[in-house]
Amino acid sequence: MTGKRNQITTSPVGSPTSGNISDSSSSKEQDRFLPIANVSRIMKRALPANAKISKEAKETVQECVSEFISFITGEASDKCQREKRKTINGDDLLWAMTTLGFENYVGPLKFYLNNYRETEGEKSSMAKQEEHSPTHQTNIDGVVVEINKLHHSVAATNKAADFNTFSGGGFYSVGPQVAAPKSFTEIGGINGYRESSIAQSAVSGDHDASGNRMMPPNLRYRVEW
Amino acid sequence: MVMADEEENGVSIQLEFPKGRVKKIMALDKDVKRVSSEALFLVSRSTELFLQFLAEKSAQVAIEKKRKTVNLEHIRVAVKRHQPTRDFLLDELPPPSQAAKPDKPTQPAGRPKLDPAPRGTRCIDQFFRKPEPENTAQAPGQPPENPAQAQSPENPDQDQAQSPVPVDES
Repeated sequence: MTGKRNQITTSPVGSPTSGNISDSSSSKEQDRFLPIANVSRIMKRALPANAKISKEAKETVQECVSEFISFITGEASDKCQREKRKTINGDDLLWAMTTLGFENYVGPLKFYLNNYRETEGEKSSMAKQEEHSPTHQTNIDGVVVEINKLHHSVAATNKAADFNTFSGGGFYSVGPQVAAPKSFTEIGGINGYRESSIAQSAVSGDHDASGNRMMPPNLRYRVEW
Repeated sequence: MVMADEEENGVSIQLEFPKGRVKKIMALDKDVKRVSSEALFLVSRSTELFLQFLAEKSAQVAIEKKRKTVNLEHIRVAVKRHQPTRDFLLDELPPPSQAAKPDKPTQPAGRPKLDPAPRGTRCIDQFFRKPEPENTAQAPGQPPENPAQAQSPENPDQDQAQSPVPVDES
């Protein structure tokens, strides 16, 4: 099952790239960028429900994101070299982001980092909880919480009008409360969004399809590990 | 660490980007030697924040111009409005003259401006020596299935990406 789904997932993602670039450079090209399906999914999550993204814009953002990683990593690496250390750690990256003008990211990242450390410290208890709770529902709740936090962080730097505009769209839920009915609402909203997207553009639909298919194989693959 | 990764995906701390790919992009810089698991996690998260920020700003530009589709020009304007992003991205974006042309000519012009291939090749050799023979063997053997096989090696890449993590933390 996992193998078959991996194959299904692979072909839609690979074919557009190979269509544009020769086979020899295709593998290098893919390795230098993050998967366009992931990039596209996060972009759509951040945009209003009726917004569309051109293929050219997706690919440009794909390159911008890789450049961002190299930019931050280079600054953190320089700091390590000055201090004669060989391993880049989390503090180096937080410092690099502050130095390069992305200090707004440090707060949310520290929050995520604390969650990350807590997860490592509570492996056994989290494993037990994971076994009992449905993966799909947990994932949706996580996504909702993540959206709220990300949006709140970005809203801090935006105008109040912008915040109202996004919250009015209904795609984001304002407030930390995440209840079971809300998760169902989110599921419905996401499905509706993707259906309208598929109806509007075949290419966009393909990306949605690949985006949808990518999640279950990854989860199952990791669970097997 | 494998257990931690598994729990991460099961719980709400799910990373959007594959760790192996993020690590490869970080390793394109020759000076980058080793990266701790926390650093890799932070880079993935910060990239998500940056992507969301860029998408939202581009959407605002599109709305101001009364467009429903976000295109290259909207991204360019969004980049120009944020000084830190502008500093490292403006030169990387395709020039305006090429933006008017069809998609195909624009892509080759834009992509080569990022990290050059030889540099990337050397770094990849240093960090992932084993996967390279597999790719070399697969490429001439079965050209039609290159896209499929290009994705499948991600699994061993992730394995190798995860294996150094305990050493770093010890």
